[in-house]
Amino acid sequence: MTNARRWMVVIGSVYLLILLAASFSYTLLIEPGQADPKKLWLDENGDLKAVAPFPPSFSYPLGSDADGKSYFIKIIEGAKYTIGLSVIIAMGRVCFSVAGGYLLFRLPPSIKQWFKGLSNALHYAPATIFTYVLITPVVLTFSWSYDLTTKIVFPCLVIIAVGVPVISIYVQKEIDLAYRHEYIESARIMGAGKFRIFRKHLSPYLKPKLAVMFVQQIGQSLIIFAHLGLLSIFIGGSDTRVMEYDVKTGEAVTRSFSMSNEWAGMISENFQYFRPFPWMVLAPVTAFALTILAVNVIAYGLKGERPAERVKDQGIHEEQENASLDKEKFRMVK
Amino acid sequence: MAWSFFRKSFFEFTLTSIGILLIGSLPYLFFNIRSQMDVLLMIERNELDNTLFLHDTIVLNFQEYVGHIWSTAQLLLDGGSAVYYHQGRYFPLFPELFDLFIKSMFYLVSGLALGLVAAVGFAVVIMVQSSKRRSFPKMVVFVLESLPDIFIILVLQWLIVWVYKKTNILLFDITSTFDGDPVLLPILVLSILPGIYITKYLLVTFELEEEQPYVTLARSKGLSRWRILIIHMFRNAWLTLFNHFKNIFTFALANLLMLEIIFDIDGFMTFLYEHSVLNPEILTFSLFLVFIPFFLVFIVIQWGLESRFLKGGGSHD
Repeated sequence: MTNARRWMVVIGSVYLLILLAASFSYTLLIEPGQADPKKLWLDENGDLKAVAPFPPSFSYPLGSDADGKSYFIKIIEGAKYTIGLSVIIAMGRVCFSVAGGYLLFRLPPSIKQWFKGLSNALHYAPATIFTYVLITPVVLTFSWSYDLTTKIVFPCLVIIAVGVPVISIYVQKEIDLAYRHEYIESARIMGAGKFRIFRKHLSPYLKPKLAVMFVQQIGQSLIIFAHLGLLSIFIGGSDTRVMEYDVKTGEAVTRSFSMSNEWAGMISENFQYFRPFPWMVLAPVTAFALTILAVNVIAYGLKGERPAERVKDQGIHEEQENASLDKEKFRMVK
Repeated sequence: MAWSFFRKSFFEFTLTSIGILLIGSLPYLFFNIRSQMDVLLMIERNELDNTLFLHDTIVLNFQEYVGHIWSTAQLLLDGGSAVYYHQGRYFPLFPELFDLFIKSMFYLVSGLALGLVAAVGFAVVIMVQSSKRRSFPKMVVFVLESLPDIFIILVLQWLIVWVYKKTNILLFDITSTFDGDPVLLPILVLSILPGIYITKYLLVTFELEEEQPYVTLARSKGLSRWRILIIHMFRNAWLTLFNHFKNIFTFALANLLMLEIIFDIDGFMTFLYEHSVLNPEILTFSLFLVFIPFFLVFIVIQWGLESRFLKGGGSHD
């Protein structure tokens, strides 16, 4: 079993590394020498075979866009932005949550209760909506008044912040569990300070859990990117142009253009063409799906290195009479 | 116990309501909504065609924030007069929001119910197999669970179009037309991912339960696998499942948003998506619309489970 799990980590990581390496080497080495993509596809005799966008075929594995550029190459090119940004966001979420979780752990229980009650409100709408409501004024609605740095940094901070309360509560629970171990009690009796306990006893216990959490958060932020892409928000620079005016309402029809080949941008750029040219949307969405799968495979492999903690720590729940009725099970509506 | 349960639920209800108010007014904390709205009005009335000279930064506007929380709370108490801004004009919020809410919740609840039934079926069928033969279905559940919802929805929609093109059989309606909204396919799609999650949680719980001594005892007494599973292990699994249900519910809401956009359904989530940026009150109202009924349902179910399983004054904290 352990071996299988290790292989899962290896396979997932190799996939991500190859994707990133291909992405960087394409932009640095291959792209400068590339000719412009052709809109017309001619066969050997010079007869017209097809006009862009080309459907998926042998020479265009994922089809092409309206300019005749292969989606396979566009996806490889965009991988570094999408994956890089999700890694940054996952890192931010984990760092803030560890700080928040430790702070929550130190606070008196009544405040913990308060915080949990308040953050319950986040359960009654998708995180995407909260992110959307806070990001859109900057990047779309009032986009005239904010500069480019704000347009890139603020959305990232919002995506980080939306995840922090829930993860902080999770971290705080893990710290609570850790503090019930006897060795921490012993360390305290022998005179270890809070900082020493944190550094010597708590962090080795938390590290593997945080590693899993970090990987899972990469997957989570990728999902949020994909969702936001569908809501025509994408980070990493977008450019809104008025395309035409609606005949009936006089409403301006705008389209956003992604400045890089970032995947979420590709989804929102092409979503309106899903019916006639499905590959235009399916290509970036498949890229998202495969990457999220790879990330989850890594997380699953990392998680499995240790046996499940809850089952082993039966002693923690000894105050309960019935072993299957531990307090975890009544966390729900507390 | 009844009294303490009631008090606790009321406390939680109040806290979550405050949380919703705090979240709903956040745009007023970060942006100068009032002045921005004035500019937007001028643009939409064609009084302003150059915005290059305007500049703004992210602010921390505590006064506006508190003021807006207060006015939203007042608006909540007499909800009938709420209006929302759309393209230079104001429209009444109710009953439009309420109708959309009912429509979307019909999809959500039927999807969740279908998913639950299917998941229980799958989990039981997987669990009566020997543990060797479980590994393949478990892997399938893991892979499906790892795929993002928009991938599954888009691929399904594309498959239906593809089947239609090849065979001329339209399996389901895939988009809103003049005949109305599609019904069957959205419910089916909405049931898939929550169903997979429920299956996963049930499998995990069942496998933990299986190690309990009472299962060994029951088996040694010669009870059949099905009987142990359905009668004995199941009642314990309900508790855990209920515990995860809030997460599944949030997840299903996110699915609903994606579904309404992809299937072009004019629903609650698309309304929220289109209007809540300029009218943050809509977010607050919608959160309350979702929160109050589902909170009550959660409370009732929890009350039922606790009075059934924690007889004799077992503490629930």
